[in-house]
Amino acid sequence: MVEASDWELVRRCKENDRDAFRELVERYQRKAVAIALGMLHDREDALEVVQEAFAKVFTSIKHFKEEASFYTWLYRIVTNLAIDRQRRKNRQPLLEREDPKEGENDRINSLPSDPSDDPYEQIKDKELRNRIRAAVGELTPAHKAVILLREVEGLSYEEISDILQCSRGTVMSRLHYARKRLQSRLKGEI
Amino acid sequence: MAMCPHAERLIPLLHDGELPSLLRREMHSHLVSCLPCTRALSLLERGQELVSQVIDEEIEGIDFSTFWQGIEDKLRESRPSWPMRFRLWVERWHLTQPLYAPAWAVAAVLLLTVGILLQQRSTTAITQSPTFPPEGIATQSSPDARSAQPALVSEHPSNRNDPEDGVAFVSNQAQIESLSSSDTVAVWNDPGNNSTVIWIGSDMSEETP
Repeated sequence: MVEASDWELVRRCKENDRDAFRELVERYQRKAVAIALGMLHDREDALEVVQEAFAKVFTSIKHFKEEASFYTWLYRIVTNLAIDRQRRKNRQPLLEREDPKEGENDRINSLPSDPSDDPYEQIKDKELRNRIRAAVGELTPAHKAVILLREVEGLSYEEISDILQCSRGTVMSRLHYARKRLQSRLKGEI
Repeated sequence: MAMCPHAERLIPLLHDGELPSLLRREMHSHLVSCLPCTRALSLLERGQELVSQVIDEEIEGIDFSTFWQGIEDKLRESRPSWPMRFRLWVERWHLTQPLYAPAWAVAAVLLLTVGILLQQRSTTAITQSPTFPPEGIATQSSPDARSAQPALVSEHPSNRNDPEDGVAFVSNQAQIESLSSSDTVAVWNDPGNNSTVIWIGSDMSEETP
């Protein structure tokens, strides 16, 4: 069966077609959650933010002008909501926040089991993941967004500038800075 | 290690697929002989690989089976816009159903009737005898006269009713059929709006200072 294009699905969504909307959700849910997860480092938060983003998409899809692509619009909503969520969390008093070590362990345990049977390799691998996660986590929201959109989603500078509402030059400079930071934090690994 | 000027500037663009095809080909030939550029490129590739690997693995561990349900819940939670809320309110009370059409019709007729009645009442109040004559009236009094009534009103056609003065300009074609010597006649001329009021009564002395 031929897959309907994003345009076609968006057009049907504008006519209140929930099936078309569900198809769009299933098409982009993983990619959108990847961005939110990379920015928030919390699975529950990431899922909630993306669900909220999709709900926003559906309620305002009638105003969506088909000048840009659907996914850049969706990713813009996701990144904005993720940045807002992170700011709100940062403003919370320390006591209200989840214990980072505890949360980290939960996330590590929830990762799929490593195919390698060597316990030493498994520990080393987990350590590396934690270091990468921590290195990305140390970036500012704007740098995080640019690195995730480029490295994970593989978007072009033009698309990233459209999503983040900034110039192509800003995208390039943020990407340069974020990469340098990651490289210095992961020295010896890369 | 010696640095190559291309490593910092062009290698990231090459890695991100942002170089035009001609320059891309040139860079690929340059990479064969440039160790710093090769290293810079492999650093970028390795960085991308690690970041995307970590994210991909976390995504693999997520159960999306209840994801759609979560969106539907959010949609239910989200407050609709004001026009939408009004529509929902109307729908909730079934005000659009034909059953309520007679009720709406009765309400509309009642409103119309009350409106007409109020209109008539205000017109009657205006046409009732005001405290006359207003300032600037010239009077001719008779001793046995008791009350005064306006007998003739002459007015400018564009100024038929003037509630401020309490005067109703009903016609500009009235005629005085008879006038006895005991009647009091007052004439009020307003050159400003080209109106003349002739007031005929039995006695003006009690009402005019």
